[in-house]
Parts: sequence; structure tokens; C-alpha cells
Amino acid sequence: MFKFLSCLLFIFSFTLDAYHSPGKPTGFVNDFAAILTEQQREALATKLAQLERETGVEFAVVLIENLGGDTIEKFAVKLFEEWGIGKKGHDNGLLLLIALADRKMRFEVGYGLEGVVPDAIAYRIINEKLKPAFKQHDFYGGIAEAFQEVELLLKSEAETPSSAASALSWLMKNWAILLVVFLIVVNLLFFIILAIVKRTSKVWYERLRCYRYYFFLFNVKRGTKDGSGSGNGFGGFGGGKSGGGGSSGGW
Amino acid sequence: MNKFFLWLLGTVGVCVAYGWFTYNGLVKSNESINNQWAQVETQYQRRFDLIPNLVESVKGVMKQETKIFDELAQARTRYAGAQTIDQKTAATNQVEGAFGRLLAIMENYPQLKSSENVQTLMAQLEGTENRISVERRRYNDEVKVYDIKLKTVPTKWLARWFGFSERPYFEAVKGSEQAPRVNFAD
Repeated sequence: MFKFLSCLLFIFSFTLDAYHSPGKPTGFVNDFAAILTEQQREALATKLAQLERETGVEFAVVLIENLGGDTIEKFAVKLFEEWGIGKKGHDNGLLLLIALADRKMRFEVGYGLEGVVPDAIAYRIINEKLKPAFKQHDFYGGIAEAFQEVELLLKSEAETPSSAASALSWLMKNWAILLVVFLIVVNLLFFIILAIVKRTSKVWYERLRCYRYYFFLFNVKRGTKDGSGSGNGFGGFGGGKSGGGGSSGGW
Repeated sequence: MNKFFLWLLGTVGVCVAYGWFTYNGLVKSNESINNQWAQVETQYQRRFDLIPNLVESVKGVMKQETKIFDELAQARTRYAGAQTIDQKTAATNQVEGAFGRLLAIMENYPQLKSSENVQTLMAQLEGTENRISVERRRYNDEVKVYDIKLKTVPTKWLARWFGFSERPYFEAVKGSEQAPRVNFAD
């Protein structure tokens, strides 16, 4: 019994970390500390959404009041885990976490981007772009400069997937449209055949006609939820993972 | 009689199906622990690949500190020869200790701080240490899921019968739960 209890305690000690979720993501920019002005937030969000459209990379900027006693490294990796920043399977997410009261920041890099944004680069961005700006309390300026740096990196090493892979990913993305086109074609074919049969054989026409309802049952209601890729709408992150890559610093 | 038979058959069927799913669940869980441990080892390897680079670039300045370099080299050979998880953990703990001391000694050599090369290596090593702690935590999370399954009724009885046993948590040496930090920039 004692063994069981101590085991339970041990397990609890794992779950009893100081991490507390700051909430659900509302977009690429999540200013829980209310530091940025409305325009600054909008400007950043537009840039980040554009980056996502062009490269598929989900770059989340998060400003929080404090870490609640946790280390910034643990906080960042758990937030990354919770939100699932980056596309599933590609793990191409980036998280810039800034804790105002603790004066700490971390640039957490998803598994898939560790090659493009190695720790040394993340360290350099923090030390050369973010730190000097943050010391002047210019949070927007620092983040914007860091973004520029990251954008440059991503675009110069932009993944060019093989044609087969890109065709497959195109299929995956547009399967709903393909399905609709397919159904329309099948429907049309059915009615064309029906019209032809009507002229030739009355018996066969009657036999086929009773199936016509089936071809309307497929009147699929296409989901309008399109998530990524449409305008500035934010449909949540894609479920990417990180493994503690990146760098942190203070100011 | 016929009805009784049906009942019996049904009960046996349910039991077999339950055993089937339990067994597969345990195998899956066990495998994801192995997989996660492989992740931890990947990061260990990364650390071992980086440490010699760092040692090379600071050796010139830290000429007198041969003892710490010897210690690191020793720990490295021990890790290379380690077979079981326990041996590997012991070797890594030794590396961690030696590495922590190296970092502490490095603070006495301010000229190292200005070296771009050393700074880059330190950033990489810091990142690696952090990755290790992340993957270790995930390893423990996987073990937790598995061990809870193993310790709760009725899986507890079945698991023993199937021959599954508890997996150990990774327990870090005191003080090494936190990735070593270098204060170069400030």
C-alpha cells in the first residue's frame, strides 16, 4: 500500500509542474500581456499569416505576463505541445515566447525546422535582434526584426517537395473539391445516359429512373471550415511538435 | 443446455477479446517507451558529438585544466561501452557532472566569452541539453501511461500472466534536472 501511495506521489510530482496554460490561441499573435497596440498586433498577424501561406510555417508569437515559477524552456515546450504549432507530420512550427515580468524569452523551434533554424541561429537572433530592442522596451520592433530574419532563412531554404509528394499533398488538400467534381460528373453522366435510354427503350428507362434519387443523395454539404490558407482567418494550429530545440535568453 | 452453452461461449469470447486488446495495448505502450528512449539516446549522441568540439576550442586557453578533460573523455568511453539503459544512464550522469564542472571552470576564463566559436558551441550545447530534458520528460510520460496500465486492475493480473513487467522512470541526478546554463551574454 505504501509503495502504491509513494508511486502515486511520484506520478503527481510529474504532473504538478508549474505550467499553466495561458489559454487558447486566438491567432498567430497572442498578446496575453497586452503590450502591443492594436495596429502592431494586426501588422504582425498579417505578416505571420502571409508567411504561413507562402511557406506553410506556423510562427506563433506569444507574450505572457509571467511564467508562474516555471522555467521558460519548460513553459515553451509545453505550450508548443498544447497548441500543436506547425503542421502535423511536418512539425514546421516556431514559437517566440516572451515573459514580461521574468524578462525572459525563448525561441522554440519545431522538429521539422531544426535544420533551417539551428540553435546557434536562434541564439544569434535573440542576442542581436530581440535583446537590444527589448532593453529599449521596443517589443514590436524586436519581434518584427526577428521575423524578418526568420523569413529570410525560411525563404532561402524553402522546401521544394518532390513532384510526386507535392501532387499527393495537393490531392490531400483539395480532396473535397475533387470529390464534388467527381460527383457532379457522375450525376451528369447518369442523366445523359438516362436521356439517351429514354429515347431507345421504355423498359430500361423505367428501370434506371428509379435510381435517380441516389444521385441526389450525394448532395454533400461541403464543410465551409477551411482552416489555413483562406484570408486572414485563423483556424487553429496544425498539430506540430517540438523537442526543445531553439534558444533562450533574457534582457 | 443449449442456452447454457451459448452463454459460456459468449463469456469466453468476451474474455478472449478483452485479453487480446489488453495485450496489444500493452505491446503498443511498451514500444512507444522504446521509441521514446531512442529519442533520448539520439540527443545523448548529439551531445557526445558536440562536447569534443567544445573541448577542442577551449583547450588552448584552459591549458592547466587537464583533469576535467580527462574526466569527460573517460565518461565518453564509458558511454560508448554501455549496453543497458542503466549503464547508459550512469555514464550520462558522469558526463553531466563533468560537463557541469567544465562550464563552471569556464566562467573563470573571461577571454572565452568573446570567442564567437565558443559562443556558438555553447548555444548548441545548451539546446542539446534542453532537448535531452524534453525527451526525458516525454520518456517518463510514456512510462507513466504504461505503468499505470500495469498497476491497475484488471490489467494488473493479465499483464503478469502475459509476462509484462514495470518499466523504470528516468531519475535524474540531483541538480541535473535543469539543463546547465552558461551566462556568457550578460
